[in-house]
Amino acid sequence: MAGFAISFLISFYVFFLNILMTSLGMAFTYGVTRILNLAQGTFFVLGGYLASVFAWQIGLAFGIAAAAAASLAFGPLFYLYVKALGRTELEQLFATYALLLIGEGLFKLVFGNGDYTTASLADGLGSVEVLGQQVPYSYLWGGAVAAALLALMYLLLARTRAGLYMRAVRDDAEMASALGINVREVGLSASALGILITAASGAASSMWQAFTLGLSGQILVYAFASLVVGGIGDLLGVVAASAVISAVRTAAVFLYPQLELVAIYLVVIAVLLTRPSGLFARHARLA
Amino acid sequence: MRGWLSPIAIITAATAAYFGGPFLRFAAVYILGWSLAVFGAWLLLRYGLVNFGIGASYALGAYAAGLMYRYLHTADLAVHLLAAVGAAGAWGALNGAVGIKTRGIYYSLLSLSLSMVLYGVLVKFYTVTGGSDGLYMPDPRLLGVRIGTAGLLALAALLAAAWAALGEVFGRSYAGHVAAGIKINELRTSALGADVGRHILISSVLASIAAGLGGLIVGYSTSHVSPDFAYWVTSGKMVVGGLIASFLPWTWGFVASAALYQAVELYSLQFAYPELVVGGLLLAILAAWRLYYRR
Repeated sequence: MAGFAISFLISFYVFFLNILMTSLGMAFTYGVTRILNLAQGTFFVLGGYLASVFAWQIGLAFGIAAAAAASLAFGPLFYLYVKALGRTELEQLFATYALLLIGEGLFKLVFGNGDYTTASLADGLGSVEVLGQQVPYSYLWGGAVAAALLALMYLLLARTRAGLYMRAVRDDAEMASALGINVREVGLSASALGILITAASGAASSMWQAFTLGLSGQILVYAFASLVVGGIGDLLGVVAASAVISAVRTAAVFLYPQLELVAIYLVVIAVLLTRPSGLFARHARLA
Repeated sequence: MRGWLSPIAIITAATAAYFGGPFLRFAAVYILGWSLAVFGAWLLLRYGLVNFGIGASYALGAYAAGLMYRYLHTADLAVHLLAAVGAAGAWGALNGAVGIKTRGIYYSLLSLSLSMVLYGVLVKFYTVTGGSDGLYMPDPRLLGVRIGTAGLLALAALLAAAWAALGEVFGRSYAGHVAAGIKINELRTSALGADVGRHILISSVLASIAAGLGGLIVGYSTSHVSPDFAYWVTSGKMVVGGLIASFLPWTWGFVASAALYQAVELYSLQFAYPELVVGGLLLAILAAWRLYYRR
C-alpha cells in the first residue's frame, strides 16, 4: 500500500511539474495582455530543442541556461510581430496561429524528425531513494527551476513599478489606460517576458521530456487547460490548477486507464460548469 | 440587394466546377462541405465566441449517417440528413447550454473540452464507432437511386447557398445586430433588453447544424469518417477559416475563405515543409488585410 501511494505520488508530481512548466509563461502573458497566443507552445518547444542541442556541447546546466539566454531574443521579436500585425483580438489569434505553423515548419527544417532531449545527460545526475522508490534528481531540479521562476514572477509583479502597471492592466485595462499607463507597451513587454519564461521552462523540461514535431499543439492544450481551470490573475491559481489536473489524470491512469485521454477535459468541463471563470477568479463578472 | 446574389454566385461556381473535370468536382464538393463548418465557426465569431470544438458537430453529422448505415443499413439521403441535423442540433444545444455562462478563453476551452470528450468516446468505444479507423460512408440514395457525384455536388451547392441566404438574413436581422452588440459589450446589450443567453443558445444550435451538414457532405465525398473530424486541430482550422471569412465583406465569404484555405493546404503539400508554406501564406493574407484596412 505504501509502495502504491509513493508511486502514485511520484507520477502525480511528474505530471504536475510538466503541466505547471507549460502553463507558467502563458498564464503570465494572458493574464496581463489577454492575447491568446496560440504559438506559446512553440516557444516552449524551442527552449527544449535549444537546450538539447547546447547541453551536448557545453554540459547540462550551462546548456539549459544558454537556451534560456538565447530565447531572450525571441521575446522582443514576438513583441514586434504582434505589434505589426495584430491590433484586434481576432487578428492576434490569426497571427499567432500562423506563427504556430511557421514554427512547426522551421523545427522540421532545422531539427528534422528526431527526438531531442537531455534525459540521458540528466540521468547522470543520479537519483534519490524515497521509501523504496527511485526519484531522479532531474525532477527535483525541475521543481527547483519552477519554484525559482514562480518566485521571480511574484517579485516582479508585487515588488516593482513595472509589476504594478501589469497588475493594473490585468485588473482593468481601460481604467489603467485612463490613469496614464501605456497599456499596449505594458502588454507587449509582458508577452515578451512570458515567452522568456516559457522558453526557460521548456529548456528545463528537456531533462524529462522528449521534444519532437507536433508537440507545440499538444503543449498548448495543456497550458490552456491549466490557465482556464486556475482562473486568470493569480499565479497560485495556475499552481493549484496544475495540481488538480495532475491528480485527476494520475488517478485515471492508475484506476481506469481508458479515461486517461479525456480526464483533463472532464476536469475542465466540471470546473467551468461550477465556476465559469475558473477556480481562482479575482473578479467574476460579465463583460 | 447585392447580398442576395451570394447564393446565386455559389451555385454558379459549383456548376462551373462540374464542367471542370472529376478533380474539380471532388474539390468543389469537399470545399462546399467544409465551408459549412466554416460558416458555423464564423457565425459564433460574430458573437465574439471562438469555438475550438466546432469539429465535434462536424464529426457528429458524418457519424450520424455512418452509424445509420452500419446499424440500420439505410443509405437514404433524407434519413441521413435528418439524423445529421438532429445529432448536430442536439450537440449545439448542449454546447450552448453548458457554455452559456462562459465567455472568451473559457468558452473556447469549454467547447474544445466537449469536443475532445466526444473524440475520446469515438476512439475508445471502438466496438460501436469503429475506433480510430472510423466508419465507412455509403453513397447516399434519394428515393432508392444513387445520387452520384453530380447529385452530391448539387446537394453541397444547395446547402451552401441556403446557408449563405441565412447569413444574409441574419446580417440584416435583429439577431444580427444583437450579435454585434454582444461582441462589443454584452452587459450593455442585455441592459438594452436583449435576451443574451437565448441568442447565444440559438446561434450555437444553428452553427452546430451547419457544421454537421458540412461533415456529412465531406464524409460522403471521401466515403469515410474518422475521429479526426472531432480532433481540436480540425476545429482550429475551421476557426481560421471563419476568421478569414470575417475579414471578407461578402455573405459568401465563408465559401471563399474555405476555398482559399483548402487551396493553400493542397498547394503546400508538394513542399517538404508544408506548415511553413501555409503559415507564410496566412501571414501574407493577414499582412495584405492590414495594409488594405489601415486603421
